[in-house]
Amino acid sequence: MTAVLPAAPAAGVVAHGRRARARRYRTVLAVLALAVVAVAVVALCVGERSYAPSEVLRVLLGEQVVGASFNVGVLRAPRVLTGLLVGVAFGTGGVVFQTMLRNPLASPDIIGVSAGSSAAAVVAITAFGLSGAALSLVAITAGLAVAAVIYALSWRDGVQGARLVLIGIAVGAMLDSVIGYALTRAGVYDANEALRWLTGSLNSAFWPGVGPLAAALGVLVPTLLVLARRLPVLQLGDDVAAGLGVRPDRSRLALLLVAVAVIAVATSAAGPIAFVAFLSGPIAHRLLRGTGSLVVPAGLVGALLVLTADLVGQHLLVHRFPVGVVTGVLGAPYLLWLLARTNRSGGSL
Amino acid sequence: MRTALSRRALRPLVAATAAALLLAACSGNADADGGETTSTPDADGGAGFPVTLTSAFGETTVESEPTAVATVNWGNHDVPIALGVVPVGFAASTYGDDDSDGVLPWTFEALEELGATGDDLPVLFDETDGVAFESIANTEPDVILAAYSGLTEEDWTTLQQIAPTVSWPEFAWGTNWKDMALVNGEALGRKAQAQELVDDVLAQIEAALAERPEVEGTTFAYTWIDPADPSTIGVYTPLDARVQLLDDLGMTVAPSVVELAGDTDVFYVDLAAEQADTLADVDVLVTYGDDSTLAALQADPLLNKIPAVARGSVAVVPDGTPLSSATSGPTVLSVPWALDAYLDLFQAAAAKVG
Amino acid sequence: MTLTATAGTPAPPSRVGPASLRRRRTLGLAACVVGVLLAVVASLAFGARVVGWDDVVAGVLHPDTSDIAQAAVRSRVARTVLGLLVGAALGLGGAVLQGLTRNPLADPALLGISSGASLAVVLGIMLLGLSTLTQYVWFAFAGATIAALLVYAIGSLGREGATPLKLALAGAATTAALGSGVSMVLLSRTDVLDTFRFWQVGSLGRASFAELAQVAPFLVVGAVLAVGCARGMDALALGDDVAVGLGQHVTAVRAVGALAAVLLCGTAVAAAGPIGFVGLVVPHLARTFTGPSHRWLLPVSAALGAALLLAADVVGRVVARPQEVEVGIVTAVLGAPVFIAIIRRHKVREL
Repeated sequence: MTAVLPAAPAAGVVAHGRRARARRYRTVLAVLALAVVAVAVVALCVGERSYAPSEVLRVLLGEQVVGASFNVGVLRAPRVLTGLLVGVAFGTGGVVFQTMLRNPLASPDIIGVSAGSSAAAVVAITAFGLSGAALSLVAITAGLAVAAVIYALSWRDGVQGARLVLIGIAVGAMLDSVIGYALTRAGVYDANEALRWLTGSLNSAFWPGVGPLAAALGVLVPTLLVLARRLPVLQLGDDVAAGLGVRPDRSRLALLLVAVAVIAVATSAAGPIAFVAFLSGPIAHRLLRGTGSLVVPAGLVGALLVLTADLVGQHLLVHRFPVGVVTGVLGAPYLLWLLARTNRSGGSL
Repeated sequence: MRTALSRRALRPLVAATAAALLLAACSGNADADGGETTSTPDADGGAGFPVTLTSAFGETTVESEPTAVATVNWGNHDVPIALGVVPVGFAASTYGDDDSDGVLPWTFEALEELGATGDDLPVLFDETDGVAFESIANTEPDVILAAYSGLTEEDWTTLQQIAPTVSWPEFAWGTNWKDMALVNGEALGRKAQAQELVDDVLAQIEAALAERPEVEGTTFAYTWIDPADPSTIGVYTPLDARVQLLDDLGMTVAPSVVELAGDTDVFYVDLAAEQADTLADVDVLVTYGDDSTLAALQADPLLNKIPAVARGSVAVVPDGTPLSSATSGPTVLSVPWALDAYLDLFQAAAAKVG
Repeated sequence: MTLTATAGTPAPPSRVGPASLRRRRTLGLAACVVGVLLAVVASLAFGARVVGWDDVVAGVLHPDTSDIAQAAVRSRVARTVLGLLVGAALGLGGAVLQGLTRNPLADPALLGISSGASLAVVLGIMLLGLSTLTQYVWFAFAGATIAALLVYAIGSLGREGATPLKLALAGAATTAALGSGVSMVLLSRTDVLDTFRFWQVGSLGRASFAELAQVAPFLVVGAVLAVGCARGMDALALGDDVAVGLGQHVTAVRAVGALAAVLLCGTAVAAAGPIGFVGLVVPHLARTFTGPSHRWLLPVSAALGAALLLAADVVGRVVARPQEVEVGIVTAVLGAPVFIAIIRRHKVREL
């Protein structure tokens, strides 16, 4: 399958074609980045009360603007920043999983990595009433621990993608039942809170949480980008990779570790926002038509998805829905459409 | 941080809305001032302020008598409304709401008396995605009431930046209706009136009980039995608000329930139906359901081993109706509203106790 | 890429002779039957209430229902029958799904069938105020069918038909989409959440003979259809081209098999709620001694599914007295390690 793989460099490509592809890559990146900025600006300006961009700018520069200082400065700014950060995290982390395991299904929300964080968080909410930093810490720790268990169980003369995916799905299903159990044993209000968390919500994004989130992702995401440069080599198969001086097992482990950490940190901040890790890679792939690395574009697509979905959820529907409801309800038909389209044309994703 | 002048900075439409809300709040007060409900602040008036309250997260100081009151989560709005203060906004209800307008009937009746329905209805906060911070901020409250709530510390800290926020004192969702009235009332500078309100409700309860002497002193277990899965009985512990309300209504939690609950801090525990005879000491079994529930319970070979079920001394609270929400999260307004209908259920059930 | 791994791949040239294989199959089937019998006895004897053996016997034969111990045993009879039916349906349905899609991950939950049922039940609770099993059944069944048809329709578009990858992707996408729909309802309606969160965990405590009678016909039809296309699925395992070469009508086998799987899994979900892992694990376990032949695999999967589900239910009833842990939770907690062990033992071709 070739769903989210960057095209292997074909031999004897004419320089002109290479330049054209590079240009296309840069254009797509620029357009995506601009779109993210545009949506972020809209999210800062628009709300139950809307403010002019100039007012928003004054708030961001530290000026006191009556009304806007709270709505924009205290509520919307950390919300948008958190959305941006977790979107990038889900996008990059997801596409690294999908590319490395050579399967679009192998996104962290399918193979149990997100479920580790979710189960721990739901238990923490319903049984111990945790919130904020303590909740984040529990979610990150559990996410990493579960990923480590999945990896360790998949190890048998090296880790094979298929085995990792299968075991991940098994572990994920087990954790889902833990979540179900916790929900039936909780009071209805706690169950509501836990469900909101499970769906993925930015409503608990405040400044005190943004700093640690930005710091953690500020280290992890660049590390992931650096490590992801080895992905194309790893695609060529272990023997070729070893021949090119890359130690496949060690590279894969490092990539997985960092990708898991990125996903766990993002999940701890906003819950496992449905579908973002799953969708960002395939969308980026379609936009780029198989040119260049997908990691950065997928990150931008992730951010765009989260910010747009949160805008829609907060302002355009009958209720003020959490972002995860929107990414799920709007994202899934897109994926189905994508599937139907590519299936009909006989190609792959 | 926010002043009345802030409206100048806003767009006309928003300003108009805010003005209308402010008017609504004022008219509510004015109307109440002339009315018969207790409505003026404590005798010492403004001198009662600042008021400092301690919640689980820390201290909250209300500097002067609040005029714009916002409330979050379940039922807190009933306290200011009962005290004659129309809130500028409160959370929409999504549980047991008969007509899906987000306002439960007793709240609506009280608002109607204060002339705050229709166009003058307070803002309803949509809590589908948690506390609606921005909507709350836009109502520009002087105080935010949440004595009965599940606020997290982060929620509370953020709300504090809007206005002084009164949170739950001991357990999230673990404040009974009397404390809810007293704590919220104190933040409004009306603790004495809140106490009067509580006393008045207690007097109403006493009068209602006097007409139904069978009810007093009966032991009960408050349960939830899934009609689709009768193999498990959910039993509410003495920590739950609905159980505490029955305590106020002169009934006693059955010793078996106390033992079952142990010293957990959860609101309910499960009991397998195969162990149904554990509840042998229960006079009245309370559960949710409809007309068919009692017959279904009695037809179940295990559940009918509970003596209360066998003899029919079962109080079935109609599920998903205003009566069930009035009593599962009781308030100073919902208790009087539900009192007669609710006690009738128990009177009928208690009459069957041998 | 192919998702094909252990499922449906033709048996590797085996070192054991056919006689040995037959002995292994016979022994395996016998073990399954013994397992079912043991599970039935355990299911009748053990529960949240500790009862004596004389009460067990009396409770089953001629219960004195004024005695709670015998009434408890009596109530376990319907529960045991439901467990047998649902377990067999899930095992059989899982085997059919895996054979049909040549997908080792095929499970009612993964192919969107459970989530279709969930969404339909949630909508039923919300719009019509449903609260009893008899009412849930039809909604769950309709939801499961629609979701399965949708997944199959999308997965089979295009020239090469319903490939494992396309089906799995369509199933995962449908599951996520329907799951979001469920959350959307639950978050805005607390009262619906209060009812649904109990349904969402699969349980056998819902059993009553009236409802058993209601679901049994569906299961029988499903089982007959499943066994009917056993030979066709054997051929499918060799690839579509080979199957056509062997004279099989590929589309017909797929359609009948899909109908059987939907009947089996949809009814199981409707009767007991979503129970994960039985449909996934059982065929893998069964295959270890039946080999890939569906004429053996299907009946063994049914028996194994029934035995395992009952055993899991017994575990759930006794681990947390006086509470019960729902069987759906037990199957996941016990099933996942078994599944992982199977995966680790097999050589899984790289994805």
